[in-house]
Amino acid sequence: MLKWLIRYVRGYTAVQVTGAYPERFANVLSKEGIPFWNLHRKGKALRLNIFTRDQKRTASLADPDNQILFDPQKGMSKSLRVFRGRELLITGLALAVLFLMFSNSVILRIEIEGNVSVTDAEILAALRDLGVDIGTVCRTVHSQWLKPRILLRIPELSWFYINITGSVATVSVRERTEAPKILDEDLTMDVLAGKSGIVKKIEVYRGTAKIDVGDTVLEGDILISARVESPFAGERYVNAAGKVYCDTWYTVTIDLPLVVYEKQYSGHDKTIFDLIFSGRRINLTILSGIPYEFYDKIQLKRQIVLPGGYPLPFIIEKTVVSEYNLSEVRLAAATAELSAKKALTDLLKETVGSGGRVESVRILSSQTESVLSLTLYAHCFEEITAK
Amino acid sequence: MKKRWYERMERMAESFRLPIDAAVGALRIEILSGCEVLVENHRGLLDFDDNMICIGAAHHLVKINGSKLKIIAMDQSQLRVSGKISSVELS
Repeated sequence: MLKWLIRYVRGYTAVQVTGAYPERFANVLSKEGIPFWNLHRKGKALRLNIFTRDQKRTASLADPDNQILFDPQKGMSKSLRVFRGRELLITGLALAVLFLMFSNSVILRIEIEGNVSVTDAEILAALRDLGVDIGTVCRTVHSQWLKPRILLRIPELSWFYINITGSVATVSVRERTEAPKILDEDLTMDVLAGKSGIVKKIEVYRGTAKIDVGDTVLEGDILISARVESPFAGERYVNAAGKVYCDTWYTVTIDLPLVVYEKQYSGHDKTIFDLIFSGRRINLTILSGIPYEFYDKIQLKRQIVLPGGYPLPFIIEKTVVSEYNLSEVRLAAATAELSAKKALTDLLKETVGSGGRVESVRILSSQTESVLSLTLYAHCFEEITAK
Repeated sequence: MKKRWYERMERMAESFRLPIDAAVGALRIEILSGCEVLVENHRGLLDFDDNMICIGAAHHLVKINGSKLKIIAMDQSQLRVSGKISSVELS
């Protein structure tokens, strides 16, 4: 069987020798080291098989008295003859087969499922740090090895698994659900003042009020005590609850520099291309150094895709470097004041919150040569309780 | 002259307990179950047809008789015959 296979692959042809003493021909072949087999007599002729590559040499060794006839060639070499002169086609076919074998062994696409608040980019970046990216050889990716490392890098995740089917890596994640903060209602606790102010309204749900309307309270003072005294039950401690509304006052000062540095783009750009394959970066740009002192860098990554949407494990990274110079710019005082006032008012609204209201606001400004100072005085009405 | 040298070599190989076929290239014939014959150290094919194959050797002539005889492989030193072998004559 093995012999037949070797002969078939190498290609062979049957030879018919006629004439005087055809046995001599067999002797000459064996002496010249030309392998032959299946030598038998057919009538007066002698028939034997030789390898196709020995055909020319065999013909030259024939005795003048003998006549040699070659049968059509058999075996694989005959089948491959159709490719003679079409080396480009064979090379293309071989490359296509190699490419198919190669592309099935690397990751060409990464799909992520199960994430809500953690972004795809975060997971992809963590995977990239651990050596898993487009172009990574599939058999080097082990989910059990990756899982604890990914969970350490992204604490918001509680579960991770990577499943590779063909050349697509499917990353499945589950996000951690934070346990709700449970307040023990049986704990004895006072209600304290979160801010300083003058008490305007008190609502006590549990406990004893330690202040009256019109009192001034400082941050940290006890507003509603957990201690309750009753003529029948005596003294006991409860989880104090209630709301205390106060008039509060805020004073906020900000200093705004009137001279700032601004980016002025010089118009000099440089584009650098890199080929990324399996985590390795190949620089495609000659003289890829950045000659600018101050520059912005914008990177665009794009996976190479064949027509028809078939992705390749290569990523082209385009980096655009734009030069800029820093120049001093003097802001107009009026414009700066307007934007600063808006910022201060927004900050005040955020501090008071939705439960309170701003009663009155006054903003005073003073200006030196390079600094604009703004001071906000605000009177508010808000709830100040804190546990 | 050549025959005498050959005989001397044969004797020397015997005295050194060496296999003669390896030492002096003596003819060696193996018969496998009447269907295959292996001839080593032959000197070429002398005559051949379906019922008889005549093979030359150093100082002998090997005649293989049978039917449907076929040489399945042959090179400068070995020759393998298959078919229905009835007798092998050495002269």
